[in-house]
Amino acid sequence: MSVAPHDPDHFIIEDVPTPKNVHTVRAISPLVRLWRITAVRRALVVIVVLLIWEIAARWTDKPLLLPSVLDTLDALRNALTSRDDNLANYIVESMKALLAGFGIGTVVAGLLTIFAVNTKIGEDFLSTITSAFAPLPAIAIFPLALMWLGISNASVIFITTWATVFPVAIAMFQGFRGVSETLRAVGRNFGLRGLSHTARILIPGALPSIMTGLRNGLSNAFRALIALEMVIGAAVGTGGLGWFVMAEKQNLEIPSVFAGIVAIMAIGLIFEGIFALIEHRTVRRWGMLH
Amino acid sequence: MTATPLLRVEGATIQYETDESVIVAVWRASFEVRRGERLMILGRSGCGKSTLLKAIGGYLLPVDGAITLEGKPVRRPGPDRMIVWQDHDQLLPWKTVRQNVLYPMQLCGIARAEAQARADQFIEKVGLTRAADQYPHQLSGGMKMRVAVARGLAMKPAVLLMDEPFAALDALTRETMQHELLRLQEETGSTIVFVTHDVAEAAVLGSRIIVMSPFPGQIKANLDVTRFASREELIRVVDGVVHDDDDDKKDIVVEEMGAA
Repeated sequence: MSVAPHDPDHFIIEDVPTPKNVHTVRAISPLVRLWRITAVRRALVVIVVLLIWEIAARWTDKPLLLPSVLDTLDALRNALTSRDDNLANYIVESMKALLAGFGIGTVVAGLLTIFAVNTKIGEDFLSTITSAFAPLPAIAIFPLALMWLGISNASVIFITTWATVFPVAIAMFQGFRGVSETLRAVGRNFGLRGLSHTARILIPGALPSIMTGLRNGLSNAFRALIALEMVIGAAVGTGGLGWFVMAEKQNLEIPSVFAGIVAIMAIGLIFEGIFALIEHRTVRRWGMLH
Repeated sequence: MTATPLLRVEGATIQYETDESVIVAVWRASFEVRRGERLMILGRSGCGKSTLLKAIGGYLLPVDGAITLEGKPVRRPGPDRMIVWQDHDQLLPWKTVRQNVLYPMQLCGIARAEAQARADQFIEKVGLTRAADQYPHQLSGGMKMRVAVARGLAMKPAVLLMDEPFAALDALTRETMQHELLRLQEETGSTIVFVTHDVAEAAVLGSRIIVMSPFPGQIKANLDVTRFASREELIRVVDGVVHDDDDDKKDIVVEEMGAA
């Protein structure tokens, strides 16, 4: 089908009147806007889960197996207000071990990554080591830690460090590798070389991956720590949150067991919130993560 | 415009390695760039024009011949040869427009007040004052390119290198950018080396045009734009050089080319 370019019939300019009474901007109803807030939707999920729990508890009516939500919250409040055996002390104990292991693990992961980014053999080392140890849960090296370091704080920190290193190193390495050739070349164009190039171009360029790695490293370390505290606490009778849960189970204080688990989950959620906040202020703000 | 050349490329042969082979991308290229010139390096893909620019940028060293800037051999990348790339990700995403323009000046130890004044001045020159506090991902392709140009010029480099900067932009934006670049270059008296595959772009922007041909990359012509009576004539001549090797089947053996 061909159209003659100067055929006037094919050059119609429609005389469209400006429409009246058409709202080009319409307000969205407050309910829909409320529903669009992530926190609101998530709070609803929590409420629904708690409701199901409460109904299940009442229906089974076996408080030693499944205490009700209210009993659990009551136990949680008591544990947090108790004078001599306060849950807060257990939490502080766990957080000290967790942050020490996570901190050391992050530094080790950073060194491994810099080694891997700068040398071929370092890359091979990191890839081989991580693929070999990836299927191994950190708690599985507890027997070794027990032999080498005995039942001690050092063992706990060793295992939380171990649990941190690999997820963080893998993510950092992938992040560094993912920084575009152009961005690297831009950094060199500014005269940056070596470590200053790494610090000023590669690290911020890899930040989305680094954040993911830190997040996974921390939760991995936290999981390992709780499991470890359950094992070690049984031997020495002291420890952090994991031991709290174990000890309350032995005392048949079942609402307190649930309270301890709720506390563990709450701490996990707080970590998640902190990471989400940091991401919101950095990589999301910069359009590096959507 | 002074008589002494600012940038001198003398018999430079540049090669790079892939996994399988060593590729001679530029073969014995020689030319000079004077202060205030707008030198266009024109050629089709694979003619070695970008490799040549990378060598001037200091990312590749010639295996033979020399590249000197203000009499000193180019050894490594540096901010005296600021580069504007084609890619949209040449701005640091974690810095705002103003910070992006400021950053290389800060790294080079330019005093804070001076750097800030220059950043504001060049951001204004490219018409982005209102977007100065935005992050790159909030900008259009054309705006990002303006920031890259402002960042390059604010450094007052000996020479500004541009690697097909406008090729990824839409036609309208490209035309606007070409005219803005001409105006900026006139205002600042900057020296520009600009790589392009577009004959019309070279004719609009260049004060001198070098035409390259591939296999291996060689300079086929070095044209002083002011010698041509009209742009049409210039384009006709340049087109002729660019398409010169369409018909003859050139031998791709490097050694024989060199002997000629």
